[in-house]
Amino acid sequence: MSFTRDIQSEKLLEEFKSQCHIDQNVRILREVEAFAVVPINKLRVLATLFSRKKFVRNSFLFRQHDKDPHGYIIIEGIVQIYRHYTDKSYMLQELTPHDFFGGLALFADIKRLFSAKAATDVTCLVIDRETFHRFTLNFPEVATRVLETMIKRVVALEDKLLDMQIVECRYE
Amino acid sequence: MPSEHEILETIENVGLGPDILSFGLYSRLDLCQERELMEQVLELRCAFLRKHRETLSRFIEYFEENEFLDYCSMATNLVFGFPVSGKPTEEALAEKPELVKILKKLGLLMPMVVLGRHIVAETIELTKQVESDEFFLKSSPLFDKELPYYEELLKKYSGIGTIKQKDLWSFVILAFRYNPHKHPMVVLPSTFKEYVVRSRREFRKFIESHWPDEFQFIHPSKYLSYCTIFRNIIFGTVKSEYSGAEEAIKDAVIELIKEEGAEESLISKGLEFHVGTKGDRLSGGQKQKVAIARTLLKEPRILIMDEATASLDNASQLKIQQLLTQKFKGKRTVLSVVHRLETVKDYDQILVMKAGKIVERGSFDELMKKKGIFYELYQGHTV
Repeated sequence: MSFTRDIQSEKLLEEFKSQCHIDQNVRILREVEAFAVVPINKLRVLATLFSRKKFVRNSFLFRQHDKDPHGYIIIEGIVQIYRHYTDKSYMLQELTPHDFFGGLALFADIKRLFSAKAATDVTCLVIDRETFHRFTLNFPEVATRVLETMIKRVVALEDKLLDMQIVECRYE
Repeated sequence: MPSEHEILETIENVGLGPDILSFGLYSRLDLCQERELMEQVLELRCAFLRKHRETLSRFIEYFEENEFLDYCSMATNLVFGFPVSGKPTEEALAEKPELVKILKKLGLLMPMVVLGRHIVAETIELTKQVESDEFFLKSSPLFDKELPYYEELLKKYSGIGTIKQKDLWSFVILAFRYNPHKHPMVVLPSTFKEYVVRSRREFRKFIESHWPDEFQFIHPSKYLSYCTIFRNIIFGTVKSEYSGAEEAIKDAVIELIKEEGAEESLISKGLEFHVGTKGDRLSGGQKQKVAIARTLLKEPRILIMDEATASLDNASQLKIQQLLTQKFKGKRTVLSVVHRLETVKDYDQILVMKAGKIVERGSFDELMKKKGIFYELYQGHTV
C-alpha cells in the first residue's frame, strides 16, 4: 500500500504548526527580561522544558519558608507576594502576566523568603531546579542573565521592605 | 500470628493508616480473586460521581465517550479502553499493523501519519540545539534511541511523494503514543480531536472482531483492570497541571471511603504493597512506623529503641510515646535512647549522658526539681 502526501495533509500540517504550545511559550519567554536576550533557537529548547500549572484563586504557589524548587512566569492572572511576621503580614508586590519570580530557587536549595498567593485564578509557566540546571549546562550564559535579574528583584523587594519598617517605627 | 483486627488497630495506633490506605488506593485489583472489593470500588465510583462530579470537574478529566481525552494517549482515545494485558494501549496497538485498514477506512490514516511526521520534525529541530540527551525529549513521544531512524525517515519523505507501508506504520506508531498533556510540543487541531471521537465506535468494532479478548472498553459500570483503584473511583484522570489537584481529590476520596465504610478493605489491600528491598519504597518515617507496629504486635518482654521515632514529626512521636506508655508501663521493660525530651516524661528512670558518662539519674519530676543538666536541656538551654 502507498500513501501520498497531498494538499489536505499539507493543510493539516500548517494547522499543527500554528497551534504549537512551544511557540506560545517562546513568545511568553521573549517578553520576560531574564530570557529576552537568549537566542531564539535556545529559547525554543527552554520553552519545551517549562510546564503549565494552574492555581485556583486564594491558593498559595509557595509559602514563606517552604523549600519549593520552582521558577514561575505568569501567563494569566495576578500573584501577590507577601512577607509574614509573627503578628502581621505585608503585601510587597502584585505580579501580573509575563512577570518572572521565584527564580532564586533555580540556583540553590533555599527556603522561600516570601509567600506567593494567587489573587485570581492563575496560570503559570513553571520550571524546576533540576531541569533548569540541565539546560544551563548546555547554555551557561542564560544562567548568568537569570541570576542578574533575580538579584535585582530581591534587592528591590528588600528595599521596599526596609521602607515599610521605617514607616512602622515612625508611627507606632 | 496477630488477628486482622489487631493488625488494623496497631496500624491506626502508630499513625500508619493514611499511608497504607494510600498504598491500597494506588494499587490494581486482581479481578479473579478480588471481586468483592471490585464491587465495593464500583459503588464508591457511583457515590463519588454523585457527590463530586460537578465540584471537582475542574481537577478531573472524566472518561466521557463523547469527549477527547487530553490526558490519555491517542491510542487510548481511539480504543476508548485499555489492553487487558496491562501494557500501555499505544504499545498494544503498535503490534497490530492490520489497523492500517480501519484507519484508512475512517479517513484517519493520513492525519495520523502527518501527526507522526510532525512529531519527528519538531523533535529533531529541538535536539539540533542540544547534545543528545534524553532529558530534552520529555515533551516528545520519541525515544532517544529512535532518533537516528526517524531522522532518516524524515529526510526520505521531505517532499511530496509516496510512502512505503512500513515507514507509514512507523509514523502511525508515534501518533499512537502522542498524549496532548505530556507532549505539548504538538497541539492537535480541534477538528482532529472531534474526528477521533466520532471514529471510536467503528474502531472498537474492528478491534472487537479481530482481537475479541485483548481490550477492555471504558464504561461507567465496568471496573477498569488497567487502572488503579483511585482512578477507578474518580473514573478519569487527575488534571495534573492544577496545583494541589491530586491532594484535593484524594482528600475527597478518603472522606468518601470513610463515609461508605470501605476503609478496612482498602487498608487490607494496602497491606499487600511491596515495600522494596529493605523497605526502599517507604519514606524514613514510614519505615519507623512499620518497625514500631511490628514490635507492638510482638509484645516483647524487653524493648530497646534507639532514636526509634526520630524520623517522625512531633505529633506522631508523641502519639507513639503515649501508646507505649499505655501498652507497656508497669508491664514491660522499655529502654529508649532519645534526643527529643518531650517524649521521656513517662519513663521510670531517665539517665542523662554526657561524654560517655551518666551525669544525672532519676524520674522526670525528680530531675526537673533538681534543676540540673536535664532541667537546662529541657528548658532548651545548652550546657
